[in-house]
Amino acid sequence: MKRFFFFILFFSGVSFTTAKPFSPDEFIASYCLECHDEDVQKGDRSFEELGNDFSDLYTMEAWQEILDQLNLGEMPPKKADQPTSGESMAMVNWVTAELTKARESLDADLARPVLRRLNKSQYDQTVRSLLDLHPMLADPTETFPPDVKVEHFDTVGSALVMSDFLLNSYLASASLLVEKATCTTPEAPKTQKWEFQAPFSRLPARPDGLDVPGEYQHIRKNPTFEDGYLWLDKFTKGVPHDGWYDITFKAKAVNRNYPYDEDRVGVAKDEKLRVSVITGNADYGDLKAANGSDRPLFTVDLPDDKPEVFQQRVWLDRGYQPRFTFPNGPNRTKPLRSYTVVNYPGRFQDFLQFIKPGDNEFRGLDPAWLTGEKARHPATQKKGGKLDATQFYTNKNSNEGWIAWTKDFEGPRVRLYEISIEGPFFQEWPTRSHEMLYSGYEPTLENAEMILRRFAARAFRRPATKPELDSLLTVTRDYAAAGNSELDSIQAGLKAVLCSPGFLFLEKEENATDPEKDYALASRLSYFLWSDMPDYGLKQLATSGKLRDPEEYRKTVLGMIGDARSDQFIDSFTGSWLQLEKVGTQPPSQSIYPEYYTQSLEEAMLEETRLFARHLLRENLSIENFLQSDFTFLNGNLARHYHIDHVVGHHFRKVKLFDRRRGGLLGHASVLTASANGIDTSPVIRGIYVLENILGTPPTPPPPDVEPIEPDIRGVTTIREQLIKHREVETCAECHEKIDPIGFALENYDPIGGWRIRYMETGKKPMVDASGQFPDGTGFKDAIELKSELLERRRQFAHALTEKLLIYGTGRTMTITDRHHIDRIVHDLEEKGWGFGDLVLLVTESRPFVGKR
Amino acid sequence: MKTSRRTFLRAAGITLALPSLEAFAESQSPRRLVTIANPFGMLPDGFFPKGEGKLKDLPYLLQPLAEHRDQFTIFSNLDHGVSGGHSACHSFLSGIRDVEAGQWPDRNFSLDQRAAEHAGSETRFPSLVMSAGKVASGEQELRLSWTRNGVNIPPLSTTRALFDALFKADDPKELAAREKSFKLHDSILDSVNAQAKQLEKRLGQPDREKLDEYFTSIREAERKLELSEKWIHEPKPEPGMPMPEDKTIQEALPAFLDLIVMALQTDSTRVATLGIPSTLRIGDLNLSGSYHGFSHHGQDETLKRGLTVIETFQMQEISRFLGRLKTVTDSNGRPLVDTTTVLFGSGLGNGSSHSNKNLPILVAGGSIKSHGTHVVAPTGKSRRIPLCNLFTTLLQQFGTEVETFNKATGTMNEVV
Repeated sequence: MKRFFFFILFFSGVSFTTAKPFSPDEFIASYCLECHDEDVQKGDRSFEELGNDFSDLYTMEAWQEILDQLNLGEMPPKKADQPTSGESMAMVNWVTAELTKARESLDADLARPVLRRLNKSQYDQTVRSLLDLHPMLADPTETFPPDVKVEHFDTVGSALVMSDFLLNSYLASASLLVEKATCTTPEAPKTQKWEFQAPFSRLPARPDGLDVPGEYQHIRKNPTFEDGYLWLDKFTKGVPHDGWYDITFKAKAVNRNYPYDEDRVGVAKDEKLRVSVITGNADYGDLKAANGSDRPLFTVDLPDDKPEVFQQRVWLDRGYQPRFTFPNGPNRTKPLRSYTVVNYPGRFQDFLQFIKPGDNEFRGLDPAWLTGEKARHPATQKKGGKLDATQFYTNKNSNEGWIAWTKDFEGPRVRLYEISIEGPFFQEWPTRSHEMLYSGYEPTLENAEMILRRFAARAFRRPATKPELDSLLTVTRDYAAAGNSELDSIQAGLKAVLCSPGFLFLEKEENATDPEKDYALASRLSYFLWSDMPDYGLKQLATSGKLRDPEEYRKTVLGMIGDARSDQFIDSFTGSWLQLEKVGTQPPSQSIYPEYYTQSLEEAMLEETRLFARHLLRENLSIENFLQSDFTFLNGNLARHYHIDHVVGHHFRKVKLFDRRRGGLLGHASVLTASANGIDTSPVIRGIYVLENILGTPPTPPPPDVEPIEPDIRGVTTIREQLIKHREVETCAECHEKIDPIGFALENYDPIGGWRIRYMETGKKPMVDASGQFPDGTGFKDAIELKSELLERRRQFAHALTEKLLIYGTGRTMTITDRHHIDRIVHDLEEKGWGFGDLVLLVTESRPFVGKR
Repeated sequence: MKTSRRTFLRAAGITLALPSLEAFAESQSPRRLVTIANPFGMLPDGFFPKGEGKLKDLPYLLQPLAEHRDQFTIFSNLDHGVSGGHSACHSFLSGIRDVEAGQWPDRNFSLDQRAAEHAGSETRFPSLVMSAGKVASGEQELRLSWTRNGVNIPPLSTTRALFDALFKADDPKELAAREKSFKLHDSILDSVNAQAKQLEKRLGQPDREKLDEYFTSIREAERKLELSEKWIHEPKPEPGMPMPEDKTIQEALPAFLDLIVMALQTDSTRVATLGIPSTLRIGDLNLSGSYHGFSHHGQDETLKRGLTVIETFQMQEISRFLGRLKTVTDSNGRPLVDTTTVLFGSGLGNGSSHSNKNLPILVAGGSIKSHGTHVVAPTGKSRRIPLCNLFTTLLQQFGTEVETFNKATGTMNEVV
């Protein structure tokens, strides 16, 4: 029934005849006011005073909400009196017609894009393109304050505030960038070569005798641990110039097929051991552990037998040095020691003498091993005290103790032989970056106007106006007049360009001429689909006016979607929409989820979602795949996390799914991790996540006087019992009966998206019960059935997704005046078969995106 | 790299202000404000005393403060009426979440920055915004300090950066380069102002309002540029201590607190804000896991004990800090504690339930009549007192002419 009503929405012009005269007021009085009058105001809504003046935006919004509830069949609630289908139909028809009339008389210009400044990531991407500084390691936005997000999007103009603080950051960043991009010497810096022998870095605190100076050094652990990095002790100042460098090293894997249990060590035996080259800058902190300047450069699979030489050309900023890690190395050493000693005592004879009988760490070890003739190391006698029997054991955690164990530990290791760095290499000098700034002109005052005009035209994404150019020239001339060099003075003007409103703001030029509007549209498209400035081709289309031709426009958008740069749209859009930016900010426990670290799951889960969404976009596959799909993208690590066999190796590939627990966004570990907090899961948080991001119906925040539920993990009461109690409170029940069931359906997924049958908590480990039902009574027994139910609500999902795309692309939140545009997009999309590419195209063609032409 | 560190300092947490000789001549000692906050609140049963009124039996988290019991007040039932758990924590000093800032005349202007605006021209740094260690990312980032236009000020997060800012003399070459850059910035600001005026003509009304922000920013930047040009030749004070290390948390938190004492003593600033980040290396406290993990104790006894260790450590350091404020005097010979109000608290009331209600609030120092007591504010839907009322009182005591700060409905002058 409800779906039928939803459909009516799209035929709002059609009139229905009803038997008896229909009165909307009567309908409201009979079916709504019981809860939504001035006294009760359920859900903070009262319709007692709601008039029929649809020209008022708030009134219009309230009616739209009533219409949506009727269409969804969610109101009136099941337990209340129900209107007859004739009454409902008449009501839906009447509201729809009134809304349509109201919209027509509204100033249609409200559905339009707005002036907004570049956000942090757009600024970053833009300066890299503008100055051809793509591989630059430094982050030019490092000191910028974080951008405020609205509905999780950092592209919303009203929240992207400007301040003197930010302006000062722009000034500083402009100086840095212009100086970085300028070649100040007539010749390119000379190429040099640095060669390094083992030990490359200070040997670990507990040398185990396995490293051979002059020959090789090992990496033993994964990089989430201190000592997980191998760096170049003699190169802490890093490379002397920005440029391309060849990094060469010889390495092999040791003990890939180690003699212990795979699950305990956490390193997959059927995967190659790997080395990652990560660059960092000593100015930001210690090089021996993760540091704020870290950037991954490349990763290679290592051979097991003969060492192999690897070489790659990479970009390094001045001051950066390459470092080496073992990303799939084992995790925590101490549990490994207990495990190996208890299970293979014969192989650790030397270590056994460090163990006191009854030591809890080695419980399970047959005591027979400790009563042999092994010599005890007498501990130093306390001054004036007696020697006590227990002191005859040197501490198992002393250096000696650790060495005794590590030297016999046959765990997986990476062995690095020699390392060299050679560079910098330049394809041309002056560099392309230099050309981007000075357009091939000598930086003299005579050329100032040409240089600034050209640079401003690119930076502003349109030609600079005469007054703009004059004012930029004034900066250069004044600076020269103050006695500064010609180059410095030109640079002063170039820096001014990077602080200009023409550069910092994306414009919606209402009172502008047509070409200006075309440039603005080109920019809007480009920041929407590429998160970057328009390229030469797109700007040409704006200049020639071709963007105004619908067919040409369509072709352009499709071309942009097909371009590799649309990866940035997917990464940035899904990052905000699905809050994937949260993954990694609340790291899970090293001891409970070691695989998160040894299997690089964080990286892998994000990659799955990105590849999946990119695939839907490029292949124009149905957005229903977001809800449920029979394929995804996996590498070996993620497949193991999902218990899917026969996927080996670190590269990602499309995998057909037979296991319905995976597939669709709600089966992606990234989404399940983003909707948890690294520590535990909450059906409330996951429920809200789905309502907000998938169904587009975020619940209202809890009333201010309600205390949140205090979690209790002792196993006395389950979260389900607690929430049932919570729902007994009437004000809570209303929202929680929508939120909780969806959340419970996802309780089989742990905080990093692994499948679980029982909770892993400290008390008794209760079974997960994932069953539930929607407020309309539709039941589901687990996540798989929930996904099928969501699929039934594909229209609602399409609506939510369209709205999010529009917020992201136009830079403002959607209001009632955008509603019919969104409805139209969803309607057209359904006719075209729900393709994601089609949806993005429809969004770019819609009035809210294009504005008034 | 030196130049970029300078730039960083200027950008992060520090703005320069006009030296004022009158300040030294002032007979009355100036007022000072220190705010300290953590990301996960305090265990309620350990923080809030049982009864109202005079502090008798201190609950376990307050016991480290026993020797200062006459010099602090604990407040119950105060909060900002916001929700959202971690994602609302950044409203601690303003009462307003960033996404709602647009609806308020001063956006989500924070308590410390409001005070800094008042103290502004008196000291080299109108305020110091700091984090006792690496700033967390995502929702757990503390984001305590917000400017009048709703921009978050990134904190200084190493003692090195803070120490250099306070005490390191600039070498003449750098000074000259900086003076030169002031001139350049001045000229660029003129130019972009002119360009924005051009642009304005092409925009419709709503977009013009947006552009207004840009004009305001230019004016503010110009004003501050002028102030910093005047400070640039004022010599910095001598540090009364060597650069303290911050490798472990046992080092970092005391080091930052010690540097705050030095900054107040040398009158380098009168407003200091310190975040205790969630990245706290609790391994140094002999715990394994994360601060965040322990805050999710879910009533588990082991986890609660761990959290108690972390929170007790914080209170011990606050206690030591108050002790220092008692012994160290300002230029008028008065102990700093008489003129310094210390606010300690969190935007989260109870880390385990992620409640933003009933925030733990401790106010120490200054001359506040409620000291030595537990002030219990009324509960119940319409009777609750916004925490901003207390903030208004603190701001008035600081000397600002604020009638109601952000969400305040009045003051707490009667009690405090």
